Amino acid sequence: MLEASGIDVVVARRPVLSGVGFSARPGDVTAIIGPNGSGKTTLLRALTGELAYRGSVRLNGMDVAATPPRRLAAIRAVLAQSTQVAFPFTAGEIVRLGLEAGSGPADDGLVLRLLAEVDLAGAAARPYHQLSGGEQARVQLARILAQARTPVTPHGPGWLFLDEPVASLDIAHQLMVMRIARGFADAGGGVVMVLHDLNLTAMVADRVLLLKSGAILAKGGVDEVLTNALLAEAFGCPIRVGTPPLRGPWVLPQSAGATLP
Amino acid sequence: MPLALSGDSSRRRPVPLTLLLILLTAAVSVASLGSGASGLTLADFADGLWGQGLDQRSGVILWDIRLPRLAMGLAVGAALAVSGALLQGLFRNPLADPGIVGVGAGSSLGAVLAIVLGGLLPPGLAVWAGVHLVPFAAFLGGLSVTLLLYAVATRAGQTSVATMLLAGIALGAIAAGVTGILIYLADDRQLRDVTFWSMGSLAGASWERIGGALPLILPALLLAPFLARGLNALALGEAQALHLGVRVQLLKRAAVFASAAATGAAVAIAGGIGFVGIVVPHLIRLVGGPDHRALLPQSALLGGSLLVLADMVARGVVAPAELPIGIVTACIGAPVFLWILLGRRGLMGL
Repeated sequence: MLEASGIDVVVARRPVLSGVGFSARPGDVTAIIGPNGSGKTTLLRALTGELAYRGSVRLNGMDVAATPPRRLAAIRAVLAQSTQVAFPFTAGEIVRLGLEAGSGPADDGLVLRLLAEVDLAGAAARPYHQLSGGEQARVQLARILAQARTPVTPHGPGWLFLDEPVASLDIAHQLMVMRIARGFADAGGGVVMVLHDLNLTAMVADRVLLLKSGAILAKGGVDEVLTNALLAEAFGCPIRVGTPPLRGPWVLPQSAGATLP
Repeated sequence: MPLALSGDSSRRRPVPLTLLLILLTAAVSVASLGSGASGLTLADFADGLWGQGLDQRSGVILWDIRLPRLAMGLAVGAALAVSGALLQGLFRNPLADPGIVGVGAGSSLGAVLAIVLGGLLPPGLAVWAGVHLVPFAAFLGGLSVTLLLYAVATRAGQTSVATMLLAGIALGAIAAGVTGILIYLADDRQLRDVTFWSMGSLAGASWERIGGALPLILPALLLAPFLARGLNALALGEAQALHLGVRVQLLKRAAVFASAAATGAAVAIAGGIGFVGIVVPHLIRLVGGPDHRALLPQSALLGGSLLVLADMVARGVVAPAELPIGIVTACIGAPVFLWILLGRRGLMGL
């Protein structure tokens, strides 16, 4: 269980988040959405203990601010928006860093299997710097998956925190990431991710947190949050949510001429 | 799954390289013991040791001249190379080197300060401090510069290369300026000590000097392997290292202290020897990869061997006179530095 209450974050004397509180359950994919600058990434960084905050964040009952990094690393892995690697590590060595940080059984083949899972079979020995942006992003995802290799750990459910995990990926790999997130949650782990794509959100999320100007505008199930009125209010542009014949809602941006509902 | 790979190619095998470097170190050590101004060779020593015992002159040359010189070369080379590797890991940049970013100049300032102002200490304290005073002062000088440099060059967990190099130059210049003032103020005896020391040479090697530096070099070298996992994670940035379970602040402090101790002690006993700290880790990374668990011990081995080798060159080219070893390392090291810089120009936007 992830429980956050009364989160305030101030950066350079400017309040970036104020009074954010919500909880996320293992088994769920929780999506954090909102316009640019609404505080999504800041919230994720506070939830993972990377950023100083006022308020309380508890992960599996542990106070995140007071728990040693090593113990946190054993139950949760964090994917940043972008990661620069300083030295000429290979893709496999990067994934291995995750393997060493996580807990639970691991064998030598896991690095290769995880690289194959993110569609990078055979790339283990390739220098990270020579990979494309999308490939680098997937290597980092494989590293996160190596760290959180057991959705249920001896210390409670495992957690994935993903900050815009599809930002540099093509559509097939975006769907791949969603499949991986869904699978991790279905196996008993918790997933919290910042997303920009509202349709991916509609497709994969169980719970949605909609931020605007550093505060929660709405939270709840997909049907409760992805509505014409709430999205238009959050993003400041006309948006229409429809329901396709198959499943789940879809979201269409309206042309500039359309008016807010 | 189209996976026909046997074993795990993601893990490089560090052992053969380590073994090679141990052999190299042994070979260089033996060669160094067998060469010198006296003309005595290994065969002479061997004959003496296995035969009727060394005569007094040979004994003095082996035990009091060549062995301490070898030991000092290995210790100083290892200290400088490991110090460079630690700084590079800390700054996440292969161009960080104690000599280039001003840490060496800070150490020099500390050492000169101890030589010139050491006489002001109460006599009892001065005796107690003895051979450790100069190395310890050099360590404090290097530490101060490293801490300042980190504070100036790092913002929100990311280090700016340009800021690091420029701030290093500025801090180095300040340290050199203050050192100059002290030398100006020094009396004749102190001036002789400073000059002798600043020539950057292994010629002053003695067991006493080595004994003064080892309490700083040994702990630094022994601490380094414990920082390896954290430095690997730090290569992804401070935030990612934290999420990988690393206590980042502790790691950074330990790396700063270890590299300042090793640099300070090395500078204190051998003067300013540049470029070992940048060339050695770079060569290891080229051959064995950047994993600090292998990089740190291998840098120690290669740094020691290369410095002993450079010392043999310094003693050999203008024999029976000696070239300052700093000249030899600079002639080899500076081009390598330029080579790295040119190779990375595109990446750094310099």
